Amino acid sequence: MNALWLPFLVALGLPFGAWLLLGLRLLLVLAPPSEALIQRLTATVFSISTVAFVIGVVGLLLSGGPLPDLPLGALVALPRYHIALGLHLDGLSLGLLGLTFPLAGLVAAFSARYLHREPGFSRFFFLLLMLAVGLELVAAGEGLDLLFAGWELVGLSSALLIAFFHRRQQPLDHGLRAYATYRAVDVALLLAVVLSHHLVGSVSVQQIDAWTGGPSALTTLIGVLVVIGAMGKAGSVPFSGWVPRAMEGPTPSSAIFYGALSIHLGPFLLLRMWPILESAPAARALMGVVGLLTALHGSMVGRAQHDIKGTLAYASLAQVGLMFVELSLGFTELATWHLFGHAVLRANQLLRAPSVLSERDELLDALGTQRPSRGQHIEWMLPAPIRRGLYKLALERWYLDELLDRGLVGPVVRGLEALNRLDQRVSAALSGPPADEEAAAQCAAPRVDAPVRPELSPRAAAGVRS
Amino acid sequence: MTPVLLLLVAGAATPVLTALALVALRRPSRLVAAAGSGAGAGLTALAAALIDADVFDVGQVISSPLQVDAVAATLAPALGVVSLAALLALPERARTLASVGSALVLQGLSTALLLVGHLPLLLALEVLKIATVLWALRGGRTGRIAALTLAPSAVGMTAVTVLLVATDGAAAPLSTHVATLSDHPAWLLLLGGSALMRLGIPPAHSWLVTAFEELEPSQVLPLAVPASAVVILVRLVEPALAALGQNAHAPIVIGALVLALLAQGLAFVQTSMRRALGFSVVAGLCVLLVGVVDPDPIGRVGGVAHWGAWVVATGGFSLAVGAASSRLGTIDLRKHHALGERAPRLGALFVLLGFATAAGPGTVDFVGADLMLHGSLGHHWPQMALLLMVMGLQGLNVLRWFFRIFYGPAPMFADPRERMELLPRERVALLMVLGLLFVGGLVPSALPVLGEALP
Repeated sequence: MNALWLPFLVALGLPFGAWLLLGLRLLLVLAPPSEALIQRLTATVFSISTVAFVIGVVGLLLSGGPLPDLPLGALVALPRYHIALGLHLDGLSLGLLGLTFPLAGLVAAFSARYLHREPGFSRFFFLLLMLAVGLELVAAGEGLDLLFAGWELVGLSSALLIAFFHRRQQPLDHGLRAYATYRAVDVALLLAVVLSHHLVGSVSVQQIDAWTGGPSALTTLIGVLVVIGAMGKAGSVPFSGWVPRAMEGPTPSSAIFYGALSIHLGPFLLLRMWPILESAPAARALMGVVGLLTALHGSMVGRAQHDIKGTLAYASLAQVGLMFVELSLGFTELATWHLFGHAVLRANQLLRAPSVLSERDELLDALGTQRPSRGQHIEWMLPAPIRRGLYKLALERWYLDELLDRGLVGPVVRGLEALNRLDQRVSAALSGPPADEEAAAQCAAPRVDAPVRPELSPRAAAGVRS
Repeated sequence: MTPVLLLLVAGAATPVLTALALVALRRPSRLVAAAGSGAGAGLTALAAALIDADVFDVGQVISSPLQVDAVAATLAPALGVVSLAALLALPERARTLASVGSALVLQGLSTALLLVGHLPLLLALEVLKIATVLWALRGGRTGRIAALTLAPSAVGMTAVTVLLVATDGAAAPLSTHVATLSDHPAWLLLLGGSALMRLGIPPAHSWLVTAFEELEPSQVLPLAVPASAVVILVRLVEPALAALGQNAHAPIVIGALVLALLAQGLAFVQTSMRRALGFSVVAGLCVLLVGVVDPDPIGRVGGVAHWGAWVVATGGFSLAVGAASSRLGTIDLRKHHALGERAPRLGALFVLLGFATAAGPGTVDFVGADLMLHGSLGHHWPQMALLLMVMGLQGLNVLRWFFRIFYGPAPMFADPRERMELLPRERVALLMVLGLLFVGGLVPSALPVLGEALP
């Protein structure tokens, strides 16, 4: 093993070890660990990881050459197929990891006060560590299989953090919506991974980087699937509905997920798969159109938001849309710098969001009578009816969610409910009526999502245990 | 008989003998049942470990009519672990001689079925299994509907067996029967159809869904674990289809995936958790079918790995659902039940085992599903898209159920300090299953089927 890998292994291994340790503790020991213990653990882990990472980067710069991949064996080795385990670090990975360790540490430090005495304190830190591990796999996994595993961990931790305040209905619905979007687009991403194996002969990042084939129907298909996969995490149009809803989660998690890291995984994926996308002009055109629409959507809808986190969420969407446009035009370096610069800026803005009103008051006090006049925007040039129409369109978020719900989800669910009633009738005809009255009522009545009505189950009331 | 085969036979015989002892004593002792089941599982695991360590080779008929191959060495320990976990998690009120005895007998018969290389013996064991299932379900709706499904399935399999034995002779090896089946597509259709009915593939799924709805998951699990029908599919139907040509698999595969997607959709719209679980299991069975009849060798290896992983993961998840049900009564998915604060560890295990059923990263099924996907690429890549949709929907269903059961506003009269945590035996059962799934996911080469080529 190349000695240059040692600091990187420490940096990558510590969050993974801490995640496993905390997970096992939560699973096996009844009493959750104390806040102080969790705080010390995460502070130590992310501090050491950051320092080790910096040492590794300095060592790499001094050595002057690229770091060879670190093979860690094979998960599966069959005659025609193997899933390799290994680590790969290049400029792109180093950039993402360089953001992950310090930002995760910063968010952990911020959250220790922000979530003090909050039920679920340990759950939050467990999910934060899970995010860090997911990002490590996405950034440093040697193959697309590992990238996908990390991608899934990021998605699951995101949904669980959106639903963090789980005593309210809305965070739960929003977490589920975000996860439904992830699962839908992940189908496209996994298809792209498998097809890439077919095209390149491997899912190794190094081999994809070295791939030099020309345009073909397969590259176009892979390209389009990769773009769709990236659109979900990036919250691009038409999948943007989950992003403002994701702000239901604790502010520190919003900062790291939807300001800094998770939302930028879309452009990251496009950069990772660039050698294939370069040979897929149709996919790049799709990327450009989606990016442009998302930028327009984000900036327009963001102006109609009434809360700071919603405004910042849409501002992030607009910027990520612009990154898509830059990539579609082939400006990969610009998109890379844009990605990392924007991640830092937006994380800072989101972490400051809880104190935005007090900061505004302080600013106004400092300005005294010298207050700036209201800015003139381009929309004032439009006639009032059009302005009102555009405002309503922005307020309703372009009706994208309604279109999706009424045009796709609603009919499918109604069809399935009809099929379910048919199935129950067939079962009843074969075996006689259901045993209990509730099941009989289900046969007759369509499913309605009744409002939540807290009540005690008869078994719990009687204190019955198994 | 070689030592490894002896171990596997002992692994099949121990649970059956334990069941007979319990019947003789007329006492459904959990301790004795768990000891018998655990000994059976341990013996089969030891055999698998010996095969893994290359002490014994697999992939060849060692001694007719018994044989050991990678499929048997992979599946037998998985079936044993699920049976042991179900016995440990069985609620006290459901601990009857019928439920404990049938679980042990079915564990033994399922293990034995994996070792049989002789059609009449295979059929005899299968008929015995069906009889045990019907005995365990006797009376009530589930029993009636199971009889309507399983009895015709047994008749169909018996008819084909009689025809094959009349043509090839009683002592003929399975490979001879495969050749005969490929010459008689009508017999193949009847055998395949009977196996699918036995498995619970729609439209023959009602008995399975009703069983999950009306009985404790830990009672249904030993009855529903797919073994015999899949053995028939792996050893007879798939090779006969392969002999007919590559395209012969396509209708089965695409049909099964469409049915799986529908079943997952039906699981999504259920209002009863147990019924939803039933549909989720039906969807899993359809995916299982896709894996084991995959014409691509890599896909088939993935299919067998998926078979073992799915049996264990679904077993664990069903037991977690059962544990939640025994604390909440009937779980209405239209409401939130906020069990998480009162049983946090049950919540964690529920979500972990649930994602293991959806091929979550780090689990054995992540590897199995990956191989199935790569295997399907060369033949029918739209099949891949359907497979991914089914797994995607399973993950979504799991999270939705988790939110409904463990999250939400606390019930008005519930005391948040009231502990409803797992009992020690339930914890052991669920942690054992979880450990197996994640250890297998991190070291999948320990599975004999991934260590050796399929026969």
